[in-house]
Amino acid sequence: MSTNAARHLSLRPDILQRLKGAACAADLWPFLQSAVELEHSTIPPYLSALYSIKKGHNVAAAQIIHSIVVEEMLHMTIAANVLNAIGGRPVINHPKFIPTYPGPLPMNVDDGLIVGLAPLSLDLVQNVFMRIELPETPQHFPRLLKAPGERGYATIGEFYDAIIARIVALGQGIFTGDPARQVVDNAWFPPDQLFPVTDVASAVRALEVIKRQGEGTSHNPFDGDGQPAHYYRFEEIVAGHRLVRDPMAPQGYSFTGAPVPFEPEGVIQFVENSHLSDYAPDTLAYSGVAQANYTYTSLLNALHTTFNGEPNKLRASLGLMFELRLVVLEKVVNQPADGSAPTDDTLYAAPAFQFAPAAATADFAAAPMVTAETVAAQS
Amino acid sequence: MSYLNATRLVFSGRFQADPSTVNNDVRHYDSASFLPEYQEYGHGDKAEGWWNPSGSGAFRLIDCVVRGVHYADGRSTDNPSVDPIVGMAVLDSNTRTSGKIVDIDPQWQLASQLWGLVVRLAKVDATGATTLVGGKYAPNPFRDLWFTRVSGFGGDAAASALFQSVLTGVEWADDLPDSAFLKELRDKTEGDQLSIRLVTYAYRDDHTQPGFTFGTVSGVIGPYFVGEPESFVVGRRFAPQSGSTSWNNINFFTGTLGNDHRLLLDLGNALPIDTNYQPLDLGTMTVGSLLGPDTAEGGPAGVGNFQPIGTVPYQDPDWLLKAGGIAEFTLNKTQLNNQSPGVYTPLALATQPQNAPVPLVAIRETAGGQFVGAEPFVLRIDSSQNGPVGVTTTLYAASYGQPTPFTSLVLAQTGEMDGLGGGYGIDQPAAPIPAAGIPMSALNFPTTVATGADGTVTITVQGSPPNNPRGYIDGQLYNITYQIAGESRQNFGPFEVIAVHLRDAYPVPQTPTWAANIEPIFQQYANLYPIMSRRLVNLNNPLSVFHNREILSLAFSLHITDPNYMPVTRDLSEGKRQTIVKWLGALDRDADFQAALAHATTPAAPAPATDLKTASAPAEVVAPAGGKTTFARAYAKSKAGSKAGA
Repeated sequence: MSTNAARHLSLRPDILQRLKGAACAADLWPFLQSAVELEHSTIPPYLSALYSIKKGHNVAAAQIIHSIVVEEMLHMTIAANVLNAIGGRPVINHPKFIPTYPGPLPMNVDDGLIVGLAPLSLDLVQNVFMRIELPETPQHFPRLLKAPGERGYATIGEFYDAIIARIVALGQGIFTGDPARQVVDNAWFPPDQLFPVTDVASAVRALEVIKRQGEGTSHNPFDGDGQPAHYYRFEEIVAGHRLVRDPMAPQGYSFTGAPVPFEPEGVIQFVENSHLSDYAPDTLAYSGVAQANYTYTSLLNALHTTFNGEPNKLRASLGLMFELRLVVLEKVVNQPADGSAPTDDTLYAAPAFQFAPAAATADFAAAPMVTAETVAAQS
Repeated sequence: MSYLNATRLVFSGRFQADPSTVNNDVRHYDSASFLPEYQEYGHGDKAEGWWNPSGSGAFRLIDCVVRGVHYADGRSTDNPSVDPIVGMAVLDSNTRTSGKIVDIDPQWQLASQLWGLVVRLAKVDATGATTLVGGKYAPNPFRDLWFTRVSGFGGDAAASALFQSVLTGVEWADDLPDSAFLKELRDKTEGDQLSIRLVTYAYRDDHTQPGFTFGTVSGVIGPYFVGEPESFVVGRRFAPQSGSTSWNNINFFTGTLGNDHRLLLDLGNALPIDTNYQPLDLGTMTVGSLLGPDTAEGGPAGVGNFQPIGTVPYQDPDWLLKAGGIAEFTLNKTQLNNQSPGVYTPLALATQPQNAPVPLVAIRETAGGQFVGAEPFVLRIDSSQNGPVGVTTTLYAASYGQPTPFTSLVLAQTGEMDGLGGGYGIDQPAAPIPAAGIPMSALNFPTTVATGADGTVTITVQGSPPNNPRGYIDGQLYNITYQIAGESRQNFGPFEVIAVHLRDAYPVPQTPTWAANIEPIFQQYANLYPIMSRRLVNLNNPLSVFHNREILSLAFSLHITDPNYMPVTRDLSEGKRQTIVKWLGALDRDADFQAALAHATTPAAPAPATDLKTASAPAEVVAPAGGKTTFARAYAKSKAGSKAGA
């Protein structure tokens, strides 16, 4: 068990400082690129947990994780829309876009929060996922927070607040992006969550969606779309019940709703922090993991195209998301990692979410990927 | 000429074909007698859902690299410092879903098509891939399938086939590397197309073994010329004298002799191999002109009867993959004396088995160099109550590779075919195997035609509603044969027919409902494609359908060439497809569905049909042999007992 269970995902204060000094749209681009990367960086860990759930088991937990993954995809899209709206270019199919697992998330301070790829467990949810999503003021454990400068880190909420503040300060003049680059497909996300970002007001509204879904509001654990914020949704798995309104509870809510049973036997035990080199090349595990890497990189490649002037490619990208699921479930996590015949104790192969160069378009990869960390290092 | 051109690129690697096999047995289309175990792997003497019940339909190119390039002047290289294209990757798509491999119908599994496959040549480094040229594979099926290529294996593991098609919408990178080959190819090809050939073999269909769903692919890419057929070469056609292979197990193949006096033979899908996938030793193999044009296969090919042109280097190390199995010869003046317009003599391969006093004809060109090909030869017709619906196909007739104008061709339906698409094992499904090919009256086409001045003739095949002759499966499957009037069909491969899926007429209802229109269709797909029902959308569960209505609406509205098109099998009639889309857009108003929704809480498994298993008629137990092999055996039996009518 981690000893830092109640710590936030803590962002580097120097990055926040640098962000607060942004004087033009171009100064903001690296931070929005990092926002895209940060929102993406949680998807492989969450998907790994989701893919580890056996068919027909841990159904409620699977629904919870799936709903969060979908929102992280929405957040990634929103951050890219804001970046496009102020004339930037999201870079998604770059070799360094996918973080190394296990490792820190983008912009994270070196505080020991190491995020890896692992099968679902209560420990994983409580000590990694909930920590990633921990709001500034978690409702169950209200505590006085020091100011960012004093405590040595910033929260994700503060990061987005700072972006919003700079956008408001810089004003309408930075919205020079081509509106045709906005990715809006309301077949998949309702219009109050995904809409074109064209001005200060719509940018603020869009970034507030990310904040609200991730953290909830300061007075309500629900995100306004009827779902608990991510932190509380993950906590439902640990608590074993849904979070519901409860007039008897001191804060008006309690984990006394429908059961969210966790059944450890309903989880496939697979290789943690899987890497293609973990597998012998002549095994089905190897070919499955290699294909999953290819399909995942193709997905990022398709999204890159989508966010760079071809928004109608979102549907082709969705097709790749479905294909990734099929490849992982039918060709990876059902394959014994060492290629032997399965027994009760078999350790199975797992998706590695590695960059597969053949699936990325190098023309795009040649473009520099300037992030918040890049510019912070220059200061 | 197409890919079989002096200008060509050869690549090799692996392919993955991941078809679902629940639909290999036509009786699994009968939802009333479908059992849950038909979605499981076959084992022992039980067929269940055959060898890959959770297949996704995907077809992928894996680890393919350019092995060599060949130039118009006869030079070639396998050295990247001579031409930088050598060693580069041949990849499929990186912006959309994988291609799909699909049979037209469970009662015709001998012409699988590739849909939505992208093929591109790319330079790959650690940062990504730069596509130099690429396009979309037009969905032509394989040809010249044979089941005895690998000596020592049986079933699909011993099979081999040749896909020929064109890449369409070909795009070239602005910045091409300094490759003499790419420049030559770009200058030579016409329009935005390229010709491509894939030979697929060494397939593994045992899900417990490494390499499962993978096989070896040998590819060739060359120029495409406007007016050529996409899916075969009008050239010098070699055919066995009887049966499906020659006396020493060589398959049908084609060659070309161009104006440049260069003879190219495509043996990529023709030569038998051992269990290490190396060519069997057939002795020294020579191609030459058969001066005694009536010399039969197996006959002597000695001095006076056979003028050698050159030796086929098939035993050179890795020749099949390195050269793509294509042998190239330049004819000298003496040799040309027997291979020029007006004086053509049949070509032959001669081999000299050990201890044989003279070389023997291993396989030869057809008598008179005759060849007839049809394109397309897989036809889908959506019949209508408003009158016959026609689709066209073109027949190409040639002699020694030259189009033969004003040649009389005859076409015929095969008539009733029984037992197609049945299965093996002791667990034979209860449903009857429907007869294919009837009623013959529902399909009409001219039975005698003549080619025009260019040696081709385009005919219209018209379909009327067959009125659901197969009961539990839509429409009817027909075979049409074609041949030169008065000649035999020995020059044709055993599966070389036009296959037609004639769909039942299905007017789109004013108000489609779940119970009457949708559920019967969705139930069948849920049964047949477990990967779909388990992993994406459970089509027999109203709740799952409701939650996924948007994505279903999208998938059922895509163009048929889109790799995400639903259904993957592309066997749904247009009327039924439109009905589904219409219903998905208005399911809120379907009271019937709302009631079903209210009762559906958790995803349901396919409903087990009770007692049907014990009621199943005792059927012949056939050993498992792989999907295509099993199908072909049934087809051979059906042909033997064909009740073909007038």
